[in-house]
Amino acid sequence: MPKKEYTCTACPKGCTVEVEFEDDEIIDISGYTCVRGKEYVKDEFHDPRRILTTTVKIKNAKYPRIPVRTETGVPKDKLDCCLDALQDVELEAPVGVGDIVIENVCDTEISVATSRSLDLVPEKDRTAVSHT
Amino acid sequence: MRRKITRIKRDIVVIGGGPAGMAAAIRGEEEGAEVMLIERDIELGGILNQCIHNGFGVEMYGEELTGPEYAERFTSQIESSDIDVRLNSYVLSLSPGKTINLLTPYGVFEVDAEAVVLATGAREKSRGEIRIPGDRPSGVMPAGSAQKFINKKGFMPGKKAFVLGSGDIGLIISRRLTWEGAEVVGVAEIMDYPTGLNRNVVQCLHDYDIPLHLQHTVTNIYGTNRLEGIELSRVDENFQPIEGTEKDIEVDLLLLSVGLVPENDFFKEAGVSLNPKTSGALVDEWFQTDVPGIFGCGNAIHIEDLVDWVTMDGFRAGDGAVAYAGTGSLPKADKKVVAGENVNYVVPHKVSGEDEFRFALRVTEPMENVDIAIKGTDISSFQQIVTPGEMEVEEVSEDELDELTDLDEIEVEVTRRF
Repeated sequence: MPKKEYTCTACPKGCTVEVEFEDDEIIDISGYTCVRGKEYVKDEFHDPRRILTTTVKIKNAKYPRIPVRTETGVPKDKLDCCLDALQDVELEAPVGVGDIVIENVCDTEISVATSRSLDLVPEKDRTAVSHT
Repeated sequence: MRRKITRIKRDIVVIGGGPAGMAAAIRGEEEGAEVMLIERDIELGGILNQCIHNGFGVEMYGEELTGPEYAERFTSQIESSDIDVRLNSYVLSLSPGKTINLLTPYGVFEVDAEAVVLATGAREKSRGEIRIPGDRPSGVMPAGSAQKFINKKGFMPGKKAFVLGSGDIGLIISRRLTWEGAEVVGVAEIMDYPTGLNRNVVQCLHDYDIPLHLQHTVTNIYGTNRLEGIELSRVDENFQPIEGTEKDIEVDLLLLSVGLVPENDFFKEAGVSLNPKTSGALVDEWFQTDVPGIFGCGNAIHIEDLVDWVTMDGFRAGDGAVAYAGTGSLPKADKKVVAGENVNYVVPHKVSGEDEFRFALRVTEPMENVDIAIKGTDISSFQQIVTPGEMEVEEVSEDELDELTDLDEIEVEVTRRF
């Protein structure tokens, strides 16, 4: 039977938890030392998710980049798709914190939003242009 | 003709506009003090603005915010307050009498403060401080500098990277570089355990199959103009490289995540006593140093794990500064707090025993099933697992203060239960 090994992240101990599975079904979980470990690997096995935090380009602000985030975790295997989708996005100042950048990114039903505000500033206050 | 330098008077002057300083300034102003907040950067927020990953605010708000989101909760509150914010401004000197020479885009000022809060944060250790031998090419920098280049300037500092140090900054920058298209060929850690959070080891390294080399360090650097490669060696139990284990790795970027040191220059200038363990100032429960009216909070005192604790300490320092600016004194803190068994250091260093307080400590080694306790009292709390990488914070409530009455010295210890 195939096996997968996980390091639990529920606490600093970091137990190594082993999952035996067949197709998409968990047959056995071993190696956890508390109930949180068991729950953690169930989530990680069936639907691992990660919050993506990166930056996109912005015009007319004091910085050439603005940080953005997915509002909640997106499926781990869609991270690359999300990064690609954000590659060519360019915002224009002013923007607020929590402004939606992309809705339903990569059909995840999750939005990407800005994680800060940036004001419109005169040209002299704009710092170096970013690599594109 | 000599121009006269303008003198300004403020109840409280806070130096440093990161999370610690913002909290101290906000609390000071809320309590009715006239507050000046000095920041050398072009905006408030400090290091939070380049920490675009999530995980901030769990203790404060029960949410996982990104650094900029956390910062903006405070910057927006400060904008709508009467706090006198001085950006692009630099403190040239601080006297023990609390006079500050301040350089701003609008000239030089002399600021007389009733109370000063130093919230100057920390600096990353550089290559010189850990003495890596070899050439001196470009492409070797602290991980936080790379974070600033990428996240604020949109500038990639390299294509193929190696990271020395498995602290959280080193782990998070490894994922960040990967997401931006660089290759991270490995992370080395001199200890036999990763020093960053386990969650970051999993989500920043395991997720991208980045190898973590425990008990390894970088022993040579190659390159004439640009970094061309490094030499990685295994170390023995005394952290000395083992001959014959050297391995050359081709990279154009070496990031150092080898620890932070409190920015303590102003403490020294003002004659404040430092803790040799942390390099930060010795403080009491109000974060007052041994120079009356000079306070310190945040990473300038000791390196904290969570910004939430930094904020809470900033509020407390703000409370202390308000009390001092009003009456010129605080309850006398004459009970020494010392690090006992298995404790590397504890903050604060002194308490009055008259008011509830929180203490923070780091243990000397990873341990399981321990009691964190004040020796000779019933004040104790059980922890399933403690590691030097995670700060432990305990509270002593008003009800528990009675137990401290007869103690001259408060010894904090961590003992194994079984």
